[in-house]
Amino acid sequence: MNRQSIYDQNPDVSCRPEEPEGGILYNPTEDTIELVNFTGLTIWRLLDGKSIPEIVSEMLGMFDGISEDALKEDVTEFILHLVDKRFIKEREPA
Amino acid sequence: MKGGDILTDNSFYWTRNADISSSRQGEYFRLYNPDTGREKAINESGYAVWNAMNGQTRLEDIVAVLAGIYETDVSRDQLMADINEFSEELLAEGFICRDLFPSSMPLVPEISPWNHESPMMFDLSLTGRCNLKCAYCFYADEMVGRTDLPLESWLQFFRELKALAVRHVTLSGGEVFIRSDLWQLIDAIIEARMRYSILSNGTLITEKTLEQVVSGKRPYRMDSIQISIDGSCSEIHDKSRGRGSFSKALRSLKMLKEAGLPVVVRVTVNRHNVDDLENTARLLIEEIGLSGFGTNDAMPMGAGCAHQGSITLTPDQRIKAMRTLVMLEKRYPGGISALAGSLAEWHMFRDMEKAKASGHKSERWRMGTLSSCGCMFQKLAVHHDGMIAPCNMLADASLGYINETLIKDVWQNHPLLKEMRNRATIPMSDVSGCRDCEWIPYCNGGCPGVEYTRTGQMNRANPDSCYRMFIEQTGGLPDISGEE
Repeated sequence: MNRQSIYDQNPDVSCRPEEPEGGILYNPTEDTIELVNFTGLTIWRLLDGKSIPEIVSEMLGMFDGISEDALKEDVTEFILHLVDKRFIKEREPA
Repeated sequence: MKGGDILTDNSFYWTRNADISSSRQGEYFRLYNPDTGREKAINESGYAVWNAMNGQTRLEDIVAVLAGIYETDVSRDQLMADINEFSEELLAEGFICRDLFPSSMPLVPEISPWNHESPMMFDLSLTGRCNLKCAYCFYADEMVGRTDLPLESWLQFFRELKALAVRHVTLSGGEVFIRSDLWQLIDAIIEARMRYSILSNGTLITEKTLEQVVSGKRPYRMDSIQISIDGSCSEIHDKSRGRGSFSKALRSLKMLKEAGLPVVVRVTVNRHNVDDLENTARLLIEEIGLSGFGTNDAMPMGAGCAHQGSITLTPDQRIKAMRTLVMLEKRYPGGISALAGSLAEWHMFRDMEKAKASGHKSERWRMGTLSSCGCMFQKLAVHHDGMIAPCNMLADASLGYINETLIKDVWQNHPLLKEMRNRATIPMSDVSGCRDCEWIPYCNGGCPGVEYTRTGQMNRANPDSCYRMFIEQTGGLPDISGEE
């Protein structure tokens, strides 16, 4: 992961919100599924060319009483996991 | 879960086997292990226990989760013992694993399968037109008379499916390859983030078709392409499917297989091929090199109603089909499959016999209430004129029309779907014609569609799945467990 990387949803992936529990991400090309909880679904919806610090910053405004460091760790882990599984695309900013 | 005086072991961290899929079937939940083919039906609290096993939970954590969901008078120690016993059972059957150390990342909870707001899958009949006129096609004349939807209507519908994140569509007809715009439809399905399967009679597939199939993302999004083969030679296959159809279907089958596409075969067992099943298996598995094939029986639906006296199996032929297919199951382990028809019935009737003799009901399927058919919880069908139906075999069970009715609304609110899903709450003892039957504790009434087609009523048992009737007609289930 590059510190400057920005992230997008893989355009092939569909997201089926199953609120309030979370959602189902489906990659039809790989025929793989990821079940995400509510926090994961929130991160997924923010993936439109943002960097991890930008996503963390937006989420801090949504959730009360959460430490920035812990959130950053969770967001990074979630994103890298889904990049690895080709649900999220990583790129350098233009 | 049952109670018991078992010492609990709280040292382990428990994890759901990540390969297991779960689905709701009536009041029960079905766990399925694709590695072993093993299934297990569990109740709601069992599902909650299984779902709580995220790699970072010990038994005491699971007890706490359960106590948070259910009000219970059961003591904590008893609950712990119950969960321990249940966990050992799941562990022995490969549905979960355990470790002395917690996993670094917890598994996210399974999304409750009964809460899906829209279907996961669709069966789409893209056309009512067909170049063949098979004697048992469930698309009978009254279906063929309806008009095919134009391309634009399907494209509009696929946009709705994309918004609903539908995962899979199965394309059939009629004969799908009769549509000249099939590739535009498939590309729109791909664009809508779905995978697809094709059901075909195989007679219209040419080298040109193959070039189209392997183009772009089409082969990567294809789950399977099914060709119908109903015999080992043209003399038998063509009797039910029409002259010249065997050689064309076989050629297509070989061509698709050589191209490395996920080709599968369905054999519809009927009066013409029941004595030829062994030869058909040899052709498909030994000569062509398929790993196996699926079977079904010709059913009294659609054209099958009109040809019932000449195409559907007689009682003696059902026994013959069972004997042969069970023998082939042993000869080709894992190679012969059936969701309906003689082979499926043999397994179902044998489960019923075993359950009655032992007093223990099968864990593979629900006994004692009507079956709601798993489809009702996962998918819908659309006929070629745009009519939405619970199943592609139901010609007249209209739930509305695509692009006029919102799928989400149909899925969540249509009374017929609700009625079908609720079948699982109806005890067999309340089903008309079944009250005095000795088999009702072990029966589920079979496919709702067949009897709905016949009578227009949903909450009845399918006579083709009736074991009492089967015994009356045939003398009982043949003892074929020791053959070959």
